[in-house]
Amino acid sequence: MPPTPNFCRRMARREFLTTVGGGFSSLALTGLLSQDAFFNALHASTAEGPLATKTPHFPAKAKRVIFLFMYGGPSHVDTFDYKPELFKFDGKTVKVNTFGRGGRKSEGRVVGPKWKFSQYGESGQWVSDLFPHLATCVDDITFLKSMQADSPIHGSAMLMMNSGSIVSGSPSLGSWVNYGLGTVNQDLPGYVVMLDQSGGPISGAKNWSSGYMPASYQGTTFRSSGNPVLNLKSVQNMPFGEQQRIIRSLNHLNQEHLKSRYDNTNLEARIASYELAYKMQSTAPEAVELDKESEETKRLYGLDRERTRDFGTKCLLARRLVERGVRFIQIYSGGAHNDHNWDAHGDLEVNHNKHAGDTDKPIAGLLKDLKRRGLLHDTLVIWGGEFGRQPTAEYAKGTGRDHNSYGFTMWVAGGGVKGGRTIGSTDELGNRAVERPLHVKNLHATVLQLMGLDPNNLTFLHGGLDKRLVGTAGADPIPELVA
Amino acid sequence: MYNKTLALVVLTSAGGLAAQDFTDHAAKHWAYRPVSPIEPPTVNNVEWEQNPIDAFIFDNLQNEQLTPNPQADKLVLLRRACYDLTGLPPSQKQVDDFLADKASDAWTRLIDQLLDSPHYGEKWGRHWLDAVRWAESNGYERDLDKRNMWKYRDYVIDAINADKPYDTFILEQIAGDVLPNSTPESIIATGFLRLGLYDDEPADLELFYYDYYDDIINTVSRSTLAISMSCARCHDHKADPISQKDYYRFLAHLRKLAIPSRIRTEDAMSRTVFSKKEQPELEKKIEAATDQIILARLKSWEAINRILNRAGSRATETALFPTNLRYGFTAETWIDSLPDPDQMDFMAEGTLGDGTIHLARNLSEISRFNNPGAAWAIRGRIHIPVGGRQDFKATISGGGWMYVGDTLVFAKTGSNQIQENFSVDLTAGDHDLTLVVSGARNPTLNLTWVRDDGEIPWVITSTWKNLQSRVTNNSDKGQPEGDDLASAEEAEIASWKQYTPLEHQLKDALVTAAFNGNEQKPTHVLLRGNPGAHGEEVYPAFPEILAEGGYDHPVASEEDARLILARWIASKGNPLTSRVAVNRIWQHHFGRGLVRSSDEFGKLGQEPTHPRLLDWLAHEFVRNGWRMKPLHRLIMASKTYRMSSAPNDRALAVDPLNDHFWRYNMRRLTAEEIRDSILQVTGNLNPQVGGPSVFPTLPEEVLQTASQAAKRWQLDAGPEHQNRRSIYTFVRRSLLDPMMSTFDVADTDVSCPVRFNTTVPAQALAMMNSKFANDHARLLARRIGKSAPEDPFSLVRRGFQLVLGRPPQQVELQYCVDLIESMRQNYGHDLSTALERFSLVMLNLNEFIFLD
Repeated sequence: MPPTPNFCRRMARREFLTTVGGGFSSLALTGLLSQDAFFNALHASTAEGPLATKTPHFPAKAKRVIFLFMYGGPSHVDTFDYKPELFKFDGKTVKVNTFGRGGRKSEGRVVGPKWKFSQYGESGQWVSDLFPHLATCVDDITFLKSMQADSPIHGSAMLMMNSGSIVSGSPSLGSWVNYGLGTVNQDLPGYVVMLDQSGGPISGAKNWSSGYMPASYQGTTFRSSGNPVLNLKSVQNMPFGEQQRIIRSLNHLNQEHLKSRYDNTNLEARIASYELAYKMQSTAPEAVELDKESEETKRLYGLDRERTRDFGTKCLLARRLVERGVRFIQIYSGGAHNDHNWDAHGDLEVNHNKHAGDTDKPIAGLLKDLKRRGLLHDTLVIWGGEFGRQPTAEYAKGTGRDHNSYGFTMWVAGGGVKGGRTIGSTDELGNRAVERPLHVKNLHATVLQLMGLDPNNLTFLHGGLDKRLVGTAGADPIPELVA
Repeated sequence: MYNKTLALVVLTSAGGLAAQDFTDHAAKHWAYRPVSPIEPPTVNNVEWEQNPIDAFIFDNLQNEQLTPNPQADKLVLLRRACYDLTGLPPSQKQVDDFLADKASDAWTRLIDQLLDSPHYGEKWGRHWLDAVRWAESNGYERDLDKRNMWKYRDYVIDAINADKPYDTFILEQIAGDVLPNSTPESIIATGFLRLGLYDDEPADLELFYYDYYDDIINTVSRSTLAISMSCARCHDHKADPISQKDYYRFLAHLRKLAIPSRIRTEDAMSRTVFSKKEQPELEKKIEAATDQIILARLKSWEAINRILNRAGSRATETALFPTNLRYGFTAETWIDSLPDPDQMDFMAEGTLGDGTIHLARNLSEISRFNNPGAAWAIRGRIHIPVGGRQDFKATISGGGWMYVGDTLVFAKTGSNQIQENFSVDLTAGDHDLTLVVSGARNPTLNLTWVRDDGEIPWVITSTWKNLQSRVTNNSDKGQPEGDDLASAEEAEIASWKQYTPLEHQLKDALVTAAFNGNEQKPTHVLLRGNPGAHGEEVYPAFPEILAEGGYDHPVASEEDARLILARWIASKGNPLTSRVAVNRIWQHHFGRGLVRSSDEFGKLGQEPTHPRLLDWLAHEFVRNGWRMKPLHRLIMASKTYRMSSAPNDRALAVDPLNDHFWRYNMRRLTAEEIRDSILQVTGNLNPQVGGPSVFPTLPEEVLQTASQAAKRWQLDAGPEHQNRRSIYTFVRRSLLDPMMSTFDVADTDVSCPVRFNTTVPAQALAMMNSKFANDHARLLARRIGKSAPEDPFSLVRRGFQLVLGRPPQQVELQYCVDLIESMRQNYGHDLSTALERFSLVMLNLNEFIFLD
């Protein structure tokens, strides 16, 4: 045993600063920020590892985030951004400056929205017929109808939405949240990603990468069937008792090894990590045991129907994971390429009917279930893709729309957000944000703010720069969003 | 001015800071001062005065009233040396030999032997790859591979094994293509400039160019100079005297480098490298053969198009032709590649409705191609009425692949004919079908779908074939177009016979490397880093704070600006280059650099703990011709290197972070070392050095995270590929190998000279539960079982020898025998399974994963 345990703890903190917390660069960080109360709070208990719980900058309205990522780019003018003019101009060629994968164009043939719009809820929000279930939840939702991103190309736009930069290599939103707050449940990953059954999105793991931060902050892919987390179960299929016996022997031997190296906290931490891993093995699978849910709940998420079962299962899992303290969950609707996701270049109707139909009931179920369990008020739900779609057709024939990052819609609910409202708007064709343009960085800033983190002061020193999710220039949260 | 000569111009002031400030900064901050010769201190201790390194360390320890630890024991030293120089544990023979070697020069001979091992280059090559953002693909949506990127990795390994002087090593990587005496090797070295991210679909082209430059500037300045130039991209550096103007003058050196944009092939940034002798000859031959093929191909396709035009659309002979599938055709592929339809630039597209595949939208499109391969993609939906076995009988000239839904029906590369029946189980319902046929010549296909019940719902027959048969057998014979086609075909076949062997040489000679464009473009300061906001024009010049005499004496030069930059970085006069190099060498021997922030020597970084030693080493390094091996010898011969890592309570109280090196720092093995060590102790490591990267098994869960996993990870199933050292595993930016990333492997996108060192449960899960860990526990158990008597005590002893190179202590022996007995008695295992469990424990030991 260490002769002076307190001494060792102090050491561990210093060690962390020099070696664990951010490579050697973080030593410099200590120097620069040692007066910063947040920084001290952030690292005060890090002997337990990089994911130990940390105190936020200020009281948080949201404790966790569920980001429903509609990969491929859903068409805002066919879903939530009601544009009566578009119906009128259907088929007519109009002057409009667009920019998508097909390049810059100055005119195009308008494709009228293919679904009817109606007003719902006490707040009278517009929703198209694509989302009959979600339409019943609009009083809890705030629509952001003037979103803008830096790129209308999937590769860079995905990175923008996930990491705030069109250049690969930066940590994703979930990594920042876990870096800033740690995790409250050491038995489960703090940052979970559930992918579409058709495959991962383009750029794969870069979308949940921790970039220049340690890998401990990267997203863990979580599967809705079988073994939820990679390596959670031994390939030997051995009973817990046997595994416990093996770990006991390992610990005995490692303790022998530690005796003459008593000051090395990395060795201790590694011994402890086996205990943690063992606990994870028994508790994590419980999180995916949906048998414990009532039939009514399962129906609420659409588990009783073939087409909604997959996404519904993931939404239900998301609720179970937030109940168990997982900080950040991202669920992808759509994967792989082409019409496997919302990227409706060909037949808009077929594409959006499929993806909306697969996800409408599950998402509505998630919102309702969170609400009735008292979880919605501090769980932030985000819906949206990497961009929207153009009001005009991509090709000479057909209904397909090209990408549009000039203006698109996302929505948020719960987590301290006022519901039943719309912020911002696009022009009469829905092509470009005109009123209160909101950049992806504003959304990111808002998420951090709601989580109790100051977006302009949450930094990680890398390459000589205090890097922020919101970039060097910083970005403001959306104040009117907050309840 | 740009065409003939470049001038390093006089600059009187740089944005924000007056010249006088620079002088002050240079005087104040240690890293900007020149490296001056230093005498090692004299110490009054016979043992600690012999090696100058020891003199510096001991002198410093004495000042702090600290006592250095005693020498570590022999086995610890052997493991330390083996891992530090080769990244591998000592073999049983190395352990036996070294422990038995009582000669006074045993240690020196061991070091020499390890430095001569080709594994030395693999270990130290990886350190360099960390600093230069090593990866073999471009990132972003397509994440295309970079052609033959592995040749750069082999360049690094070979250069380090040959102890190529570090100044040459750097010079070649930055400017090996524009050196007056450039060689294929020096051109391959410039892969350094191309390793980074490459967005082949940039939304903003100007921004793309400046991001590309920034990636190079960031990598060059951090890996060789340990300064963060990139901080000055948008405004003057906040902490260091590096102005925004300095940044753009640095950038100006790169303006002639070609940056191909929006190129979506593996050859986006590739060029040819022939050996000097072969070059003119082979180029001429290939050019001639390609011309012939293209001419013949053009003629035959023109004939085909005329036939089609004359005959009009005509249905094929078979009534079973599927009419709901779409095709695309391109003549822009390589022969051996299996193109992705999402990435194919089709010359013609349509439905299979009329039974013909058109070659181009118009004839002028045909002449566009300049690659010898051609491919079709056929896509659409397939309806399976009853789930179950489906047969696809295929005859294909060339390679191809086919997916139905997520099920891979087949995937074969190569230009040989495929004639095979592929059976797959498919569920009922509608599925996407994707079929690609690619080949050297006109690819042909005959695909018959046979359902479980024997029905043949459709047959796809190649239109080429139909045309050919129509020409040779029926009405088209005698028509001028038919004759044209027949003779063009003949000519093409003949030219292919000449071409094919050359093609392999050609492909081997392609490397992803630097090449210049036609002109040195002007450079402007970009206000706030915005490519649209041009400030004043600037010319190539070095950062003022560092340029010893350079900037205030205009130098006219015929040389390429990039070469001028490279020569300056690789010069004795540069105060940073040699310091950064020796600091990195020290870092990888002692777990930390003399400057802990080994990529940041500026004001945001750390002061050196031993500034005089750092300068002495830097001076020695340059004096010895920038060679690393003499420096390794000197360091490892020191008493400082051979100290034990044991704790000492008094020293811990005074110097808990070991700032003064009173002991050796323990370290965890790197991700690669962990995997390679497991392969080594189970006796399965394939020691082959160099060559194309390999694709070992990745868990299915991980492959599913990619958008096109199955196509993109072409598994090398053979054990010879599975068990190569980790440095040879293909690095694809969008696919993280979980075993590597959980153990903190370097990120692929930015320079990473210091890796993180985390301890998280995911590591324990991987080491206890993964298929890799358990497969190797079994292999280790087998190896133990083969070489020890069948009693638990002997087996445990053997296990300790194999894994740790030492016998177990009594208490350890007892723990392990108890484990084996418990596995047998309580869990009903036979001895061999119990031994596997014990082996798994051995591979998880802290002693195996950490070095003393």
